[in-house]
Amino acid sequence: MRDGSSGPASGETLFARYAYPPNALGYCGPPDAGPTWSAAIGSVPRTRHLAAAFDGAWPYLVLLAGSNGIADPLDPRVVEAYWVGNELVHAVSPVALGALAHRLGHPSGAGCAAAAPAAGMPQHSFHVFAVYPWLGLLRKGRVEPALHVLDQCRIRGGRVEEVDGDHALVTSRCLAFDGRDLSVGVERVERVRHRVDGVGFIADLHRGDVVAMHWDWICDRLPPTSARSLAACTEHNLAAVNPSPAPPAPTTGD
Amino acid sequence: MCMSRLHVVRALKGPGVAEVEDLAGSVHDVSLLALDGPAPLPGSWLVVHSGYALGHADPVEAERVALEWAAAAEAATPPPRRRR
Repeated sequence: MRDGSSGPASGETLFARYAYPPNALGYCGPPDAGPTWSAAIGSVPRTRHLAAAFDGAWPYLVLLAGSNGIADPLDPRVVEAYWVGNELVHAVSPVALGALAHRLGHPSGAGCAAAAPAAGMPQHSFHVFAVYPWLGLLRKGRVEPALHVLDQCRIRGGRVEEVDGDHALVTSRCLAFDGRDLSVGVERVERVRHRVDGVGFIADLHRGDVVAMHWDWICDRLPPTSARSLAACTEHNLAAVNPSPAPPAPTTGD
Repeated sequence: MCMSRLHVVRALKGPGVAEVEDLAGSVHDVSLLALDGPAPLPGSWLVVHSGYALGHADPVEAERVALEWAAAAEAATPPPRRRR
């Protein structure tokens, strides 16, 4: 298979692997997703201007890099921190993250950023859960579209069950909403794409591989540490946007 | 990473679906499933996020933003090279 995974991915390539799926759907990034695809498969070596066109992601890369004393927002460690999480997320101050969330928030105020930004981690799921308007819409009863967008737009981990040509069947856990809290729910098997006409982002996909998905694409193979970081950041950011735990029932009589 | 964006309605394509055009001229279909109020009319403006229309936009404000966006895009376009 031809792909761009013969060695460690550059920051630009890694960024593009995750950015391509929503760009191809027309949801974000430059109008033409062709350059993003080229960057994602590693066929264009220098595509720095491309990442800056994703105006909902680039500010997080800048914040992560600056908070960690890294000059390049497209340093692979910074890009990894944004998409799946790593130790760099801990260096970002809650105040700076809160200010960014406020700046990027939906003009209707339907997101949660004003309510709970400071407790989040600057991994992609923070933007999805706290800045997007969809959790607010979910709580207003728009369950079907809101859960779909929240689930597909977060980066989710899964295990490959079967490779079927350009697609794969992957077991992952869907988001669930109980009327109060958003959480990671039960396992399901989903059919996602991992290449087009034999060209994809990662080589030699096999049953049992642990992968990261964004919308309808497999974006990368995850080593155990990255899979754990992704799960931890997701849980952390869910806790940040869910209502505070109900206080314990008051004791009576003594 | 996605952001809410202004789109102008080109046509209604059936129950719950509209064809819209963003400020860069790209044409998409969007779902109206999350939209409150009456169905949009061609020429009206919508706030769209991740393939769904979320709200009606004030037409005067939307036109102003569209003009500003076009001016910024034009200013960012490099002038054509002169032939030597």
